[in-house]
Amino acid sequence: MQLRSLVGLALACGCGRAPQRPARAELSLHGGYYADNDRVSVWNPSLRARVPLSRRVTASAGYGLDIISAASVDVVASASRVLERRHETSVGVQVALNDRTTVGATGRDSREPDYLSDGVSLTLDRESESRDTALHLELRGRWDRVGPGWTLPERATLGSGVAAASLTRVIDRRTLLRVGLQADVLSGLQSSVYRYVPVGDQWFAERVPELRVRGAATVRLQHSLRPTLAVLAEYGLTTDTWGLVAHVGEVGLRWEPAPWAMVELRARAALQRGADFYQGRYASVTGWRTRDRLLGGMATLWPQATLRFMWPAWPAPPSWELGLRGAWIHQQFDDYVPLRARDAGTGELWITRWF
Amino acid sequence: MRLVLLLLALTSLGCVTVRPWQRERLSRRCMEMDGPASSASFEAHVRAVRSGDVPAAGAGGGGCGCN
Repeated sequence: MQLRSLVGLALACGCGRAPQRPARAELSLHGGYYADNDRVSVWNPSLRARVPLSRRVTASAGYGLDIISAASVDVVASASRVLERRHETSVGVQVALNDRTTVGATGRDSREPDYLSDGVSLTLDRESESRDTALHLELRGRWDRVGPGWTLPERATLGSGVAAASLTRVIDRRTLLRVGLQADVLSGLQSSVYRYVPVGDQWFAERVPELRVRGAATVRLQHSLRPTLAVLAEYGLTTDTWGLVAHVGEVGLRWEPAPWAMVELRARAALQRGADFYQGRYASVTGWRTRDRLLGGMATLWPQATLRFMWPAWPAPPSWELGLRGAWIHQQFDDYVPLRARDAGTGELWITRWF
Repeated sequence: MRLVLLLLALTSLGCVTVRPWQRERLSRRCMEMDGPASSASFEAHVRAVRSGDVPAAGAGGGGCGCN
């Protein structure tokens, strides 16, 4: 019986993606927590559901809430804590055109008092006939309304478009490779509506260019060392028209100590060269000015550990999953005087049920 | 353009035909390319609001205590 399940899984398996099986309903509850030494903390409970409507059509929906408590040094001239809530909802539909091609559309809405965002994404997934290559194409568009805030008396807009493609390939019996490309265009208000910048002896509202075009490329390799042990490595390069360049590397290890458990250890390191107009001091109020530390030079180290328990045990498809993840994020800023280093911790707990 | 060609070349170099019945290792859970969707979404949001290479505005809303 186990051998038959194994052969079934192997026949269905394409490029390390979840094996294709008859669609099942899925319900997932997730809780996330973030806290850092900049006095920011965020609670994020969320709920997701997927329901097959027919053999070809699957509907999905999700809701997430961010409860944010912040008194960051980024927000100058405010000593009081800010407590804010962000609600995010999404609905989508996926249609299997045939056994190798799926298209999908998802709509998304995010609301908080000073930021409204609506977006839509279209996806196409296609596997080769031999199921050793999988292509994923995605187009996303978004329309945001920003403010009002301290530096902006009336609401402003921000539009963005993203085109992304990834190709996953079976290299040999133990190795998978994925390459990805992405291009983003953002046009509209991208300055913070709460941030002021010192120029001489005075403070002025932050101003950054209204157009930002960004390109990113990633390469990811996964290799099975033993049936229950795999390693992964990823490299990504991002550059944009603001002059920001980032190199991101990631290594990881996954181990299945039992057919119903998995341990994952990952570490990500990033080095970023700041935007051309990022400076600590400005000589005049003309031109762009920002003190957003995310636009300056910085280095990030992000290790994390994950425990997942899935039942029934492999090779049967799971009906239950319980997951726990903890991460630490250390960031070192080149020029940001108020806070030269930020340390943050995140914790996650999720449970998923398939029917 | 050179980068695109390099990435395409990477995906085609060194590939051998792996028959479906030879994919037991690839079908193991430790070889999944993508993790749980809900956790990936949380991680992507934290990354978007805590690094400069992913535009924070691209995360769709603030939700970061930093705007």
